[in-house]
Amino acid sequence: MNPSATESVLNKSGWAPRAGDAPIDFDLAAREHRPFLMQVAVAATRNVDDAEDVVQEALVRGYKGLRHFRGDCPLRVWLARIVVRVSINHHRSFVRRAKRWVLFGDLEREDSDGRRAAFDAADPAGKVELETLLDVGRGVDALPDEFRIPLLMLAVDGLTIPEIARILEIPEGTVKSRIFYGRKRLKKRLMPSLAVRAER
Amino acid sequence: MTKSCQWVESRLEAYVSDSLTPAERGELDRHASDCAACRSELAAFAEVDALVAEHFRRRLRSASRPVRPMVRPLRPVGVAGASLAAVWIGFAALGPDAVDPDAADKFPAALEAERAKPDPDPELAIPLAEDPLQPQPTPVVRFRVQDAAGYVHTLEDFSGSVLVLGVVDGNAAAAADFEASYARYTSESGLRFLAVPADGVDLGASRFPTMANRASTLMETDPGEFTIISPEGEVHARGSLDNGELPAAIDSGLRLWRDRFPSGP
Ligand SMILES: [Zn+2]
Repeated sequence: MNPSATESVLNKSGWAPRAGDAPIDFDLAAREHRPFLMQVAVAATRNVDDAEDVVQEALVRGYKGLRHFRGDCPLRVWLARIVVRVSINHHRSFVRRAKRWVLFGDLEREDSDGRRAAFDAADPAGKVELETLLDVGRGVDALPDEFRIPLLMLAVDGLTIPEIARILEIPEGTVKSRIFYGRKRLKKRLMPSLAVRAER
Repeated sequence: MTKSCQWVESRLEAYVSDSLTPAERGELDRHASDCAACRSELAAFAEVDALVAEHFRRRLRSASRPVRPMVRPLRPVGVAGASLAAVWIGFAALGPDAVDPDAADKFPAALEAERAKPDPDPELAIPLAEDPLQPQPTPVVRFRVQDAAGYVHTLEDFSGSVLVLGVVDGNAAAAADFEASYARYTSESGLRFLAVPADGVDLGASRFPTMANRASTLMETDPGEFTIISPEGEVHARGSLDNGELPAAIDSGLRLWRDRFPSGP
C-alpha cells in the first residue's frame, strides 16, 4: 500500500509518531503479527470458530484506535490486548450468535467444544487418548475466563508470563496464581484419566 | 534429611511456574526423588500441562483450517441432494460478518474499506485502562453482602485488603478449614476473611466473620469454594474449601499484598 496514505490517516486521527520514530506501517505490522494474534485469539475465545473473526475485528479496531497506542509497550502486546477484549465481548454477543444460528438454520452444526471434527485426526504420537483430550477441552472450557485465558496463553508460541501479564494488564504474580489454580482444577478433574495415576 | 511434603506443597505454584531459586528447586527435586507421593503430584502437573498444550495445538489447527468442517449439509437443505455448493452460497449470502474462508487474504481489502469511512466510530475507541478480564457491565451483581446489622457491603468496602471469601456449604469439613485458616491468619493486617453461607445453609454460631449474600454471584464462587480477591477487587485465586488448598492460596494472597504495599498501605 501507499505510505503517504498511512501518514495522512494517522495525522487525521491525531496520532503523531515521536521524533525519530518511523511511522507505523499498520499493514505490515498486521501481517507480521497475525499468526501470533491468531494464537492469542484461540487462547482467549471460547469458540474456536470465532478466532479468525476476532483477529479481523481486533485489527480493524487496532487500526482505528492507533492514536491510543502510546508506544509504551510493543505493538504486538497492544494488539493482543485488543484481541483478548474482542474475544471476551465476542463470546457475549448472543445476538450475533443467534443470527448465525438462524442463517445456518437448515444445516447441522456441531458444537465447538470438541464434539466435532476438531478431534478427527489422531495425535501423531498416538499417546493421548481421544477421550482424555475431549475431557481436557471440557475442563478448560469450564474454567472461568480469568483462569482459562492465561492458562491457554502459556501455550502460545514464545509467550512468557511477563508478556501475558502485560497483555492482560494484571501483575505477574496474579498470572502465575491463576495459571496454577487453572492447572490444579484441571488436574483434579482429569485425575481419573491421567497416566500418572495408572502408574501408582 | 530432605524437606517435608508440606514444604513441597507450599512451593508447588512457584515450582510449576518456574520461579523457585535454584537452591529451592534442588531441594524440591531431591525430596521428590525420595517421595513417591510428591513425585506423582509433580508428574500429574506435567501431564496436565502437556495435555493443555496438545488441546491448544488442536484448537489452533482447527481454527486455522481454510475450510470449516463444522458446517456440513448433513440434512438436505430444502431440496434433496443439496451439495456443498449450497453451503458456499450460504456463506456468500452472509455478508462480511460471516465466516470467510479466505479472511486472511482479504484482510487488506477489509482494511481499505474501513479506511474509506469518514470518521472513526467513537464506540471503537479503546479505553486501555480497562481490565480485559473484568466482565463488561451486565445486570449481574458480582458481589453484594449484608452484615448482621443489616448494612449492605460491596467489594469497595474491602478494597485495600486481600479478601479471603469462602462460600460455605453444608460440608462441615469446609467450614472447619475456613475456621482453621481464619484462626491461623487472623493477625495478618493485609487480610480480611468473610464466609458467606450458600443458599439454604445455616452456619449457626461460627467462629469467623460471616455475612449473607444479597443476590450476587459472590465473584462467581461456588458453594464449597473460596476466592482470594486482590486489594483492587480482582480475583487472584480460587479453590475448594475442603481439600487443604486454602492456606497456600492465602499465602499467595499475602505475597500479593506485600508486593502492593511493601511498607503497609
Ligand atoms: Zn513428599
